[in-house]
Amino acid sequence: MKVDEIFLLNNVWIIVCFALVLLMQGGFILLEAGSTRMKNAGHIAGKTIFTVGIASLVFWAVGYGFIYGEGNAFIGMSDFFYGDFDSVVDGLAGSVDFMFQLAFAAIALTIAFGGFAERAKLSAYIVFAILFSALIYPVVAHWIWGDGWLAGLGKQDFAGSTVVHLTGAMAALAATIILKPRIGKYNKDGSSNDLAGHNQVYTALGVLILWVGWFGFNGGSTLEVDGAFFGYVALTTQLAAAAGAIAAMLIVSMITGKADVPTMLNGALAGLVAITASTAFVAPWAAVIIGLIAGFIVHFSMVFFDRAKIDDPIFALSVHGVAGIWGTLSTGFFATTALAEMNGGSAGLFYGGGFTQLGVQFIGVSVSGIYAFVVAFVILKVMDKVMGGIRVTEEEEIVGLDLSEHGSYGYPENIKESNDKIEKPGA
Amino acid sequence: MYSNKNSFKEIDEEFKTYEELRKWRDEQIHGVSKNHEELNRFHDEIMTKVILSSIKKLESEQGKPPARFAFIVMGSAGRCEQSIWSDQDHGFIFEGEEAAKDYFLKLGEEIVEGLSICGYEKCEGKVMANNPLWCRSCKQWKEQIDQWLDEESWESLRNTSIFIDARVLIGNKEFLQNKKQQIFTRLEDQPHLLKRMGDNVESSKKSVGWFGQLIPVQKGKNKGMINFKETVLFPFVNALRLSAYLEQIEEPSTIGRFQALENCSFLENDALSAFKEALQFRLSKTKVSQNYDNVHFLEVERLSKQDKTQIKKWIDQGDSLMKQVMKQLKNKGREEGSQ
Repeated sequence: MKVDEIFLLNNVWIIVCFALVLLMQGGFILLEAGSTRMKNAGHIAGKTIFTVGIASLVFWAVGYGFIYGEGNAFIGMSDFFYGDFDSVVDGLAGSVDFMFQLAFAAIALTIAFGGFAERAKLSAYIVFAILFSALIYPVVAHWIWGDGWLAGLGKQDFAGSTVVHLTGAMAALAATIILKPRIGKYNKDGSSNDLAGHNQVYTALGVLILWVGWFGFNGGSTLEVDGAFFGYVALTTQLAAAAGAIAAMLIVSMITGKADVPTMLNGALAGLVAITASTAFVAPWAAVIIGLIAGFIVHFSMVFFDRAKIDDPIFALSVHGVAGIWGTLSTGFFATTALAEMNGGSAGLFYGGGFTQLGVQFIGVSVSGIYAFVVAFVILKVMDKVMGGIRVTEEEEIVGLDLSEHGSYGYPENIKESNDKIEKPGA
Repeated sequence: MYSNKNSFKEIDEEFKTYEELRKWRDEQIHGVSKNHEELNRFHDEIMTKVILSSIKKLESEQGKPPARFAFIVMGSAGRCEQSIWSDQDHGFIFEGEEAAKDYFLKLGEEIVEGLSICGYEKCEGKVMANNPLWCRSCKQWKEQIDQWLDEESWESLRNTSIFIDARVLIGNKEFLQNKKQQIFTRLEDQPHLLKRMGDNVESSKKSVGWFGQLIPVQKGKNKGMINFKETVLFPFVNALRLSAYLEQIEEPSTIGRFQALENCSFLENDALSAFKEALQFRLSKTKVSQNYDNVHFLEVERLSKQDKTQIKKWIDQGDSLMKQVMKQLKNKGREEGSQ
């Protein structure tokens, strides 16, 4: 039997991309740990690993089936407990496709947990990981990537600005509203304090790992090597990330007089999140514009949430939410005729497509965002009632989740002294 | 201004303790804080009373001061630019041998405590008379100044600039004059040091953004505020200090330096009035402040549009003054170099 070389190469490429996307969790570990305080570092790193575990099992049991199973415009209803060795889906081995999709589901969950940072109970992570992976992410993914109603409208979301990033961010928004700000974030007079992350080097390295992983995320979303279109996707991805970093650094310097490092890092991520939807639809110059705008708005968004008293330690709402919305809308402006023909949907406003595609993008991003927020809010409210609160006690929060939830510090030597001081009153 | 009528006897009769003096200060301060000059005369009066009390106290324990001396004040006190709250910056120059040092250090200790009780915060940088670095005999000061200017480090040049803002509050004025002349002579021989001192203060903090907005502090307890002293006043202060080096002016106050330089072509005519207005503005905005921590800070959002425009104008004037002085320094350096 002659080996189908393209089939083989497609599968090798996608399984490599699966590994790249899974490695993005390492980026999140560094990004989140670096953006938060030392006393929560072990917790925030460790929870990422076990929630990837939960996301994987839930995705295998029901997630994949809800997204890609045969069903209706709202949800798929077959292929639960997925897996065999000989099925073929869209020119890929079924298992390869499954693994690649699983990694995306896990990323969406990790983004959602940005809203939990430094104050949620470990048990809340576990329960929400199950419910988000079963009831929130798969539904939106089915609408846009499965056989859902938004796919039917021709919604363009190449690698998931809406499906992955906005869905995760809207759950994070619900969580951060219900959990309320961290102790010490806001003063009685309403002014806010900067609870600075403990390691900007971690945060920067986290961003770089995410950036590299994004070539799997966007590049792999071609789902094939034919025509080597992944090269073009990589090109637009790189340009948007670069423009995002520069734009954020520029705007924060112009407004505050200081080239704030966390803002610049968020600019790079915002560029990446924004180009995720549009990467396969837009010209390189448009990718630069999309990245620049993402970098600008991420700064204003960070300031907005801070003033609105929505405590967002990892900036998930700005980076994944606001930039996700912008990225989704951006194809409605910039999608070229040729690329839309090739990858679905129609040309954007600037390419003679009128408002049709922009309208579809707007409906898609609005309904998906509202769905993710409302369902996450209801789930978390119910959890809050049933579980006797989803936030740790004040004492536990002050001591830090490393010690209160896990019994040991991420940095035992460095925290010993303050730890002693905290423990004394109770001793 | 402190007058000789404050004899030790009168001090004793008026105020038995530093606490009583503090009480008097608190009662009087708001009355005198309408006018910048009046306020600084009042500060001088309080500080003088504290020092005379301290001397009297130590006299009763250890006898009279063992040598003639000058008690010098530096920083904003030296420049007569104190706000309603101020910290301590002072030292001793005394005559004679090292043996007297212990006495003056002890006196310094007493003064520091006395001033602290009377509302003057201790200097974080320890520029105080109880620190051996700032409590020296005339001979030691001479060596110290030479060493600072030989060392040419950022810190030693900064100390020189602190010292050049000194004025004698009590004691022998000649002691300080001699030291200032020593600095001027040294700088004539080493004009490149002036350029370095200029470079160190030239880049004031970026206080106006690209959109012409005032940039407040971004983080911490003074978030949303501008440091008026650093952003508005310091460019004037630094420019005039550099001019004082250049023209060998002993006068420590910025206004006094302006006046001494009246005929200097490189100073803009309206810079002096801008500086005076800015001092008065600070006083009017901060006279209700409760402590030294926030006396230099103004909340940007509470400033009127007119205030903001005025502040930006002062910042512009300060910057352009600084540029003119730097140009002058460079010219001087070139002249020296070509000789």
